[in-house]
Amino acid sequence: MGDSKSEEPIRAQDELKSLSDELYAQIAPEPDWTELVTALNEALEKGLTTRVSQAQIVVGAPFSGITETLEHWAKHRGIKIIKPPSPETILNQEQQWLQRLEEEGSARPLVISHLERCYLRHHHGLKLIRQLLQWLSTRPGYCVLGCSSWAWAYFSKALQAEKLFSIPWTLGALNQERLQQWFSNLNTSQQQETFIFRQLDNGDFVIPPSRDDSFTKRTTQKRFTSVSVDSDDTARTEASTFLTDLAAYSRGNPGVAWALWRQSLQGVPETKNDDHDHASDLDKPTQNHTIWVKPWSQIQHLALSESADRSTLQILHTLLLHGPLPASLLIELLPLSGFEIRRILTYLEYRNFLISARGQWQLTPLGYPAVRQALEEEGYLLDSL
Amino acid sequence: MPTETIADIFQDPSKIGLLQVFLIIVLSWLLLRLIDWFIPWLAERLAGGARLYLLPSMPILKFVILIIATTLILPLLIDFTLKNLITVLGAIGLALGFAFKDYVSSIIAGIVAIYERTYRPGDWVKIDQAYGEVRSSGLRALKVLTPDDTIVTIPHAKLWDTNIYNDNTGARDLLCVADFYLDPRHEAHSVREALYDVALTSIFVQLDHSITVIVAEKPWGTHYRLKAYPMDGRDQFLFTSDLTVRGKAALAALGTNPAQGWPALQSGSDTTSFE
Repeated sequence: MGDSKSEEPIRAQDELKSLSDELYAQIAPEPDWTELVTALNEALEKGLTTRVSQAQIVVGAPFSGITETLEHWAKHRGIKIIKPPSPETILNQEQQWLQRLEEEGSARPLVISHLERCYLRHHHGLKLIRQLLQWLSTRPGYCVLGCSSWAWAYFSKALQAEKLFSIPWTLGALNQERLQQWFSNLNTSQQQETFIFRQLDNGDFVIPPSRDDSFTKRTTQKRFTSVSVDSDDTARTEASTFLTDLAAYSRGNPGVAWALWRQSLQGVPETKNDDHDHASDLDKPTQNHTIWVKPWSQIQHLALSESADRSTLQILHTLLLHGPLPASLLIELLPLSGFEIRRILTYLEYRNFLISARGQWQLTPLGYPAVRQALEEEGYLLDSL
Repeated sequence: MPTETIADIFQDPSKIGLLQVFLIIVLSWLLLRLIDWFIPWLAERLAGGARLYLLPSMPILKFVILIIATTLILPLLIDFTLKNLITVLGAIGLALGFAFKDYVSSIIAGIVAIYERTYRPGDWVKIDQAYGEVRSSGLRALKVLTPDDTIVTIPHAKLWDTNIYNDNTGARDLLCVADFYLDPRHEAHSVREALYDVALTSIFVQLDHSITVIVAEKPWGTHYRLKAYPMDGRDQFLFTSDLTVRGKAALAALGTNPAQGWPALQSGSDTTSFE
């Protein structure tokens, strides 16, 4: 099968261009986490009936969408979402926030979607989270606690938090099949347009075409007859390994996989439509497009250079432990000068590892795998996801 | 010993492959230089854990090369019979006994150090007055890099008659201690909790190890020892500094005062009186 393929790429790189914002919004829009609410609802309902503890921890890696899903679930169920305390409240060890929470009542269900924002890795930053975890573990009312996997790893090590609650839940990692299903369903077009995803170098289908679609059927047939025909003349689908590589590299993390997926997509300008499929369909109401996917080997992964020093890793680790933070708070938490922290933040932003939004610095999904690997190599505390 | 016997020990000069001997020596020297350069180069580029396994292999590899080279050269020079072997060994023993006693003693101590794992590259050791990280362990001596960036060369023979303190014995982390001396008029429970949290929240701390705060009442005040492990032994001074700086801030927030007076100044010599 593979031997019969042409050595030449199906599409030359210079024929292609990045997709327009409209096309991105159509075929790879921002993930809609509300779809996971049903699954979470079922899981938590089961937990309600069989629970040992009244509190259920739901842990998610950064960019996994767990927080958004949990908040949608809480709104769907009409459960109050508790806003985290301000950093000043935590550092000043003020009791008002916890007192107000206790006044909410012990029996009322509640959700804390950002447990990682209820502490700071500072010698004054653990008192509140200790009191909060203790109170949550003993109150009779039902509560669901969403927590970043990195913060949970710290709570487990530093505060032995896992001994206070039942085993945390998390979303399953996305493997190749689930990525394929998810990316297929991301398409927001209203049936007027059909998209085929093929690998740039060999034309393999990254997402196998739907069998009942006329365009994809013709494209598939053309591909099979021109490139890969079995001896018994039966066309057989050749699936690209792109999504398998993507699932492995992203560790099944939806946010990371989605960012890389968008980065890998390329299109042909309308004037050079591919394979003349479009031309033959111009008289029909349905428009068809082939989206070309860069081979995995050509994806430019962000990599922390070998010279990523101790200070850089400390900043990145702190951002993972707490989520988005302003530079002023990083100065409080780290033994580094303000000048050094701002210099490193700017450098990491330039390298696309960080973005700054409303004064808060956070990791990018594209930089996350490299950062995690660098931290692992240097022996930092890691999450388990 | 009759002269003809000595002559009989060696190969016929016409049969000795001097070129072979020369090539073996050159090749061995090149391999030793390659090990000196390549393994530290590789260790710097690998993850921290691998470094601790790679660097200790250096002296073993060098010793193996030396043994192989000697084994290859000797048959080229000496006519091997039992009688000749005894003669050669006796001569070598005599020469070593007078001229190279200390050198050979260091080599043997180096082999013992490898076997007993007394110290390995990457370990933090104290030998006599020298404290630092073992950077390399050669055949005769080890090189220790002190925190003041000074290399101290210490012969392995020190092993025979000197106590060797090894802080981490092959592990990546080592125990660090930050001392605090307080005026005794304070609430010790709060101070102990605050110091514990200082270590628990340090960015350098290795959380797989326990953190302990030891308190001792002295005539001049209260002595606190905060003990914890950094993730990497190379960060020990930064870690201790971090504990000290943040510990002082935490203690100031609690309203404690440092120990006052002459006895407190004398306390530096008293820090090891309890563990």
